[in-house]
Amino acid sequence: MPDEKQLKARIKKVNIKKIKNVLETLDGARIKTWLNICAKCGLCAESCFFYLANDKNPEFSPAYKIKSTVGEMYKKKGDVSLPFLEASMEALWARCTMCKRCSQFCPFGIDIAAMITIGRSVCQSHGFVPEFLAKAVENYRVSGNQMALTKDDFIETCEWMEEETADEIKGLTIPMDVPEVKFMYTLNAREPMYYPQDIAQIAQILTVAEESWTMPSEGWECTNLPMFAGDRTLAGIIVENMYQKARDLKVDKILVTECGHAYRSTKYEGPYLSGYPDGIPPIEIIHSVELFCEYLESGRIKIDPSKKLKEPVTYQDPCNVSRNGGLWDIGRIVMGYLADDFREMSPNKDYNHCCGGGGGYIPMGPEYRVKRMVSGKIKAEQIRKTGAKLVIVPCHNCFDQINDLNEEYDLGIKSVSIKEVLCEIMMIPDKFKPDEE
Amino acid sequence: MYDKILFCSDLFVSTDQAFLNALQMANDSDAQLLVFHVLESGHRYSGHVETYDAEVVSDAEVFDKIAGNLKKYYSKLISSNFKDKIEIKATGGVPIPVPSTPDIRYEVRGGNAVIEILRFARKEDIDLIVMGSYTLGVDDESDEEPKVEQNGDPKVEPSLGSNAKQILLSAKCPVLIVTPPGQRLNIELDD
Repeated sequence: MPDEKQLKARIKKVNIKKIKNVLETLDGARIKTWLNICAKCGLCAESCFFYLANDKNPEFSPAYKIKSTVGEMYKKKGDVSLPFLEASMEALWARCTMCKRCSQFCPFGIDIAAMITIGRSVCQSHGFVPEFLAKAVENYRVSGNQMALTKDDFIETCEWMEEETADEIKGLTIPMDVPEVKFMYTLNAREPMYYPQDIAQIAQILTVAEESWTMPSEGWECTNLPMFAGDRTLAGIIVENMYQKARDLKVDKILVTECGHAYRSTKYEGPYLSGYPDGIPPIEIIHSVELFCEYLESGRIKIDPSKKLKEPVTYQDPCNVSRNGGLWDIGRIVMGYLADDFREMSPNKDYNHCCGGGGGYIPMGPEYRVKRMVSGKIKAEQIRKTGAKLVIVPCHNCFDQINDLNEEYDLGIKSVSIKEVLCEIMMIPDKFKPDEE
Repeated sequence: MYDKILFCSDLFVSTDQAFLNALQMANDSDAQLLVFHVLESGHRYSGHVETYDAEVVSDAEVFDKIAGNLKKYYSKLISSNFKDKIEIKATGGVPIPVPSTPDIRYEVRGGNAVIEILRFARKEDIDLIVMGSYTLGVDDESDEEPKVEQNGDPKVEPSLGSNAKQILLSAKCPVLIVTPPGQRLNIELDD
């Protein structure tokens, strides 16, 4: 149930002009075309894990989800009721992760996720956003990051991780706000808040690779839940904070942590959200998977052959890294270096299924957990069929979802990030080995 | 010997003995005692705290209120154990000398208990961490019914929990694990 603050944020009366404005300004002509050309062929249905996991209920098919929400909004030219907007939340948030798999099967290439985005923006314009997601978005508004961490909190966490890791890698530092370096590292606010060891791990890898990099004291947040909450204005501000910091520091590139939607936001949607009409980010964006691949291919990071993973391993393609980010083959190259017994899921690569936690789904919180577990059944079965004991997951959302699925479906697996594996099995050159006491 | 001692409170009476021991050591060393509680967040996407009744709290006002409640609870515990300034036994435990006016600070945070305890200990330059360690008759790995006392209360048994283990292994300062009072020697050798 929404709390008092959220109820107050809801507009008491439908503002038709406001809805029309959202519908028209967000690619109105293209959306109208898509709505008109949809032949109701049903090919999208079989591609959608929500549909497959929910007994092929037609209400879970992408075409129906759009027709019953955004389609109605357009048909009625914005003249919809508040109960309609409230009811639309279910289809827009709880039955779609905007993974874009359906678009690969649509004979007309209709971008369902783009229309879901518009539906979410319409709902958000009237204060209808799932409660937990709305609270996370509020954190961005007040602090610029998902966890409402202060600048001091963040810097202290980096200093802490530097101290923790200095014993393992000689000369390791987490350089803060160093200008004119190659990479500015950006991360998910969950890392300083809940997984500070992730910061230590990336520092180890970048140190061993002798990389030129810096951690920014501000503009480090690369996640963008406002983007999934329909708050495009705030989403643009968050991305621009990062771009601006990169410009201030005069870095060559922005390096994105192992997070899927952060890559989508920073590289693909962010430029539009923050006012770059050509859709090209002002600074080159690199995902961690790409950099790790480059290190392994070039030999800047070497794997200790005796430590290479022996147990069966599979790889989760985060939708926003593989299908929507184009990095599925890069992920396989990395797996070749890490694992002796790599096993593909089926389907895989750009046709892999979403984990079921993306598009803002996990941040929607415990209220939606049961539904998330039901829809995650497809991913759970994919993993089980591989026989893998280790799932390598370069995305925070996928990581949590797969851990939840492991518990729910008793998969007997462990999920890990690439950087965690790298830190375990990479060779440490002598010059970085700590002095013996 | 110590300047700052950190007592990690989990709000269960089972750790009262650990608190009293921490207080005793703070008193002996003329150290400040910091009583710290972490509201565990099961929802790691907003920094908000998911409590057992699904309420979501995260603001300073709520943390201050809980810190105030902790102060009330432990002040009462101190007075009940040290009334009339006579050396008495803590509930079923070891004798504790009368403390002078204790210097105690109460702090509450939200997040992951292990991470927040380690983060706080580093920030405050803590010399010693004191924790209780027990289980309320519930074994997460088991499907068996939780053990209960005759009066229906959860049965408190000594157990080194995962948080205590991680703190013990990760903290930069010494860690003292205080088991609950009234334990019995129980030697059960595995086959």
